Amino acid sequence: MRNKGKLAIGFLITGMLSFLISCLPDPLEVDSMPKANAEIVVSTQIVPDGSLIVLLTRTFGALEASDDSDPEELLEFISVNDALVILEGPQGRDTLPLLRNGVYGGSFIPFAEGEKYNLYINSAESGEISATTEVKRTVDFSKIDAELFYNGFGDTLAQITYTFNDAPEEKNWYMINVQEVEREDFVENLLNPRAFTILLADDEFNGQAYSEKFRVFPRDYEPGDTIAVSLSNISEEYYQFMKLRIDNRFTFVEFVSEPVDYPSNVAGGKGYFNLYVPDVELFVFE
Amino acid sequence: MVKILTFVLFFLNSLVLLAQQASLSGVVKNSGGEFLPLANVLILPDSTIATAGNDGSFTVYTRKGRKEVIITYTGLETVHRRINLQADTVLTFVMTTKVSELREVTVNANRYSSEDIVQSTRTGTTTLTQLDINGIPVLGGEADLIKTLQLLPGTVRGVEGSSDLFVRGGAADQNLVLLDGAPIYNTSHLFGFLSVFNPSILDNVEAINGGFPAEYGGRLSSVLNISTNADLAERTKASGDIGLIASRIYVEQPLVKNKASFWIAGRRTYIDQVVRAIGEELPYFFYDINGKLILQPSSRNKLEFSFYDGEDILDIFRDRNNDGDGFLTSYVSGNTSQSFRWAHSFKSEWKSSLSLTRSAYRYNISNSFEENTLVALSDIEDYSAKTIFRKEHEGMNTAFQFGADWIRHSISPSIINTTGTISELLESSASRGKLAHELALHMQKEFPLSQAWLVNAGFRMSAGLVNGKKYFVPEPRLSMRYALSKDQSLKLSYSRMAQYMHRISNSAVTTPTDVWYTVTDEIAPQTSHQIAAAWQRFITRQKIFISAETYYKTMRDLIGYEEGTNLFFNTDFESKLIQGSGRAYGLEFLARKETGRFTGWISYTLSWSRRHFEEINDGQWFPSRYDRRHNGAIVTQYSIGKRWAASIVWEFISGARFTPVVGQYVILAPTLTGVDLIPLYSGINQVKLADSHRLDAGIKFMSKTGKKFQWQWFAGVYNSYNRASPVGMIIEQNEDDNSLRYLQPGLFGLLPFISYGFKF
Repeated sequence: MRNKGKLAIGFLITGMLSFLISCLPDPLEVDSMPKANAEIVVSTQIVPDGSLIVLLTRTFGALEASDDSDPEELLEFISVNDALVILEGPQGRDTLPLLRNGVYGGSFIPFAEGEKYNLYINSAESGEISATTEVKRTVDFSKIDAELFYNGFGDTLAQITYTFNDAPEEKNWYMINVQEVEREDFVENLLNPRAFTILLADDEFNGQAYSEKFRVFPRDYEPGDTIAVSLSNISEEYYQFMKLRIDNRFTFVEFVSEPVDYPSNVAGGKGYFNLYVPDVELFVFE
Repeated sequence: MVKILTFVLFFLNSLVLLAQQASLSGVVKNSGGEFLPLANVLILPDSTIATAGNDGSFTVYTRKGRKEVIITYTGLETVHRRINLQADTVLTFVMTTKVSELREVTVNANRYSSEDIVQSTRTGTTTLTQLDINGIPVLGGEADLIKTLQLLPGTVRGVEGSSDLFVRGGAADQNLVLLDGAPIYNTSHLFGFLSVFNPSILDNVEAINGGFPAEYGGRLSSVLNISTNADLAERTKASGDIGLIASRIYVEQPLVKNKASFWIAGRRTYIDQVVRAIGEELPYFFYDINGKLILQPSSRNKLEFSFYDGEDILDIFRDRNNDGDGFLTSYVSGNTSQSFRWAHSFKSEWKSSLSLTRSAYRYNISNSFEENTLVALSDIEDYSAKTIFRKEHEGMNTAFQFGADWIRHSISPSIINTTGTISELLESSASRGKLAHELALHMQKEFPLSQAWLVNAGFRMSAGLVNGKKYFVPEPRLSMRYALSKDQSLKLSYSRMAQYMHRISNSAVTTPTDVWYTVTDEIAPQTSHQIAAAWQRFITRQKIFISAETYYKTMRDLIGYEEGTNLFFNTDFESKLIQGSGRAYGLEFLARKETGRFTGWISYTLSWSRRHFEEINDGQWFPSRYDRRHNGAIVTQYSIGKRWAASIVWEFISGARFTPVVGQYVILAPTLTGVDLIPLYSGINQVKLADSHRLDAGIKFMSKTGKKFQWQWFAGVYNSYNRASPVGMIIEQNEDDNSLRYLQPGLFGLLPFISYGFKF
């Protein structure tokens, strides 16, 4: 009887182990997939000296690049280089020349805060698109400081303390970014640099000074590291776009994540036509 | 007023019929002389249905003439007796144990077994007993109610191995799961892969997918009415099962002969202990405890008090640096329910039942690392009272029933509490708690229009009250049967349903951390209309039930959420909720053989399910996530001699719908230090995953019959040819040439299982 009991227990444990180590089935191949329509993608940025950079690329397939792709090769592959790029504002029209791989630019453009500007793009290969946006008022930090914070558990975080003044009687949306700017990081992180971003809407501090202290988590910093902290007064639609991006940062399991149709202010294309000037402060940790 | 006149007309008509009738009284016993409560009685050709009382007796008034009396009782051979009824008659019926079920007899108190369903007005109804569930090889060898239901027509499963049910194009939260009348909000253990219902306690499971009787409401798509054993124990009995995932035990004990008894059952996984034995850590376990006290102070009163408590517990502490500052994660989720039921038979033909229930579900996730803590909580607690009064005029095949329901929902949907640096990423927040009430009044009458036509007409008026907002939804119900012959019928049903509770869940897979939420000022109750038509036949000689049923269902105010809403630790989901509509239609086929050496069923469903939300997919209709066109199963069990039984299950399901990443683009990162990759998705659920099919096989070896201690070994394999059942699509990089490709991974490959069961 005792032997039978031992046999049964042995049998059971063998069975349990076989259950634990049982094989995963080979994944199945995919025969065919729908393709995304090729569209022009617009990305813009004002440089504080009045220059405008317009990056024109095209959408590409999900299998044509990943986080690990060579960023320069990718930009070369997807850049739109045959476009006529026209910026139209209250002071007239500017045609922006091609500088290099999909990057068009113009300098000394007298942008007027609160005015609307139109962007027209015509590419023989990729089609025609347009976008309109308003130049947002530049808001600077009135106070800002960055220091290392030792949390007592072996981690050293960047702690930022800042204040800025919100413009009264207008609705504003703000974006604060913290980014490492060491040369090595810069090259390695050209694709998806993953800045630390905070978004603010001025619902609760309209027309007042806003102060906050935050720590950049979960990154570790060392003395000698350099970070850039920027404050941008952005449009509501770009705020919503960035909010969607941040909300989906925890999307860690692809097949159970929800699809996101990211919005765009480009008619006939993707991306964002933004005209805001960030206030950028650099800090070298001691 | 019209309704009252209609009822009066039918009552008068019944009185006229009474004059041409004689009574047939009977007593139903087993071969040991014990009375058989709730035996089913069918009188042909009148198609009169009656149910024996608790003392095994029944009285039927029917037209004089030649009759065939058919008595059925699960686990016992059906009795057929032909009589010439010319005057009031009293008979005794003795039923013997089915040869094929000598080894395991379960008592089925449900009048709607497959054989009886043909003559009833029911559509979309299936019953399962413990015997059905225990004989089927499933994941890990753990007999599972939900996984057995997934093999029946009209029910589609979600992710492989999960306990989600998608019934007739509905969502996973549109199924009302009642355990002895108490709603169970989270029906799964093991993060969704095993249902919470201990198979040892099950007496009868009734799955209603359409043609809902008026007493049921609160969900759009199905009612899963799970009844645990409610028979008075005659002697001490115990049974148990030792499996790879969990073991379970069941003990029943009489307290006062024929008056009072109780049973208690427990189940626990010990995979944590096994893994510890080989030097590893898997700090997870689940357990269930069920119990029931049954009191029958008199033949007219029966009282039942049942309880359930079950939890999943995960407790991980990792301290890689051995400095005591490791990462601690604990996760606890659990259901608890208590229900009290009092069934009373009045001296007249009236019967009543009163149910009082409490049901709660909660989860608590706690993470701490160094100075950071993250605690997420959610809980829901229901109290309910339901009463039903029923009068049956068995001779005239009529029944009248009315009742009232009240449910109080108290929910704290989602509370997130963070401290330390992690609060920079995830701020403390809480959703508003809610107190809501659901009320319903219902009545229904079953009556014959002619010898062939039987009608069940009902009406349910439901209401949802929350924060001063009141919703009222009239829910008419109608089911009709036209008997083509004594064993063949056509049926038609219509149901309107309303749902006041919703589960806020990812569309792909439900998880224990999904949040249940009531209607609000902004969120209206979900409603549906469903019509179904069926042809059913019971082939008496071969004991085969055949059903072909078609349905069309429209749904309004379905719950969805804005594109891009992240539900993970999101307390602000209320502002993201949107409402839309849906429609589903399909054809279901079932051929089922319940007795004999060879038992099992073949099921097939052809179905469509689509959704429409103005805010999603550019306002265009799109397929629902589990819009699976074909869904079929072959389930067979074969007795080889007296001690061996083999079972095989083959399942085929069209691939689920999926929204893959089909493209991408880059935009300048906000810091100008690079570019961000933005994914581009296909249209919502535009892509169909590969079809799934799987063969499971098991073999059972049992002890000799007649011995007091009986045992059985059950061994087999799940997914015997190791084919993946895709759960989604991923993009994988080839390590050799860095090229990318789409793949469809599955979760479970070939899994052997073995279990040992006993009873004495």
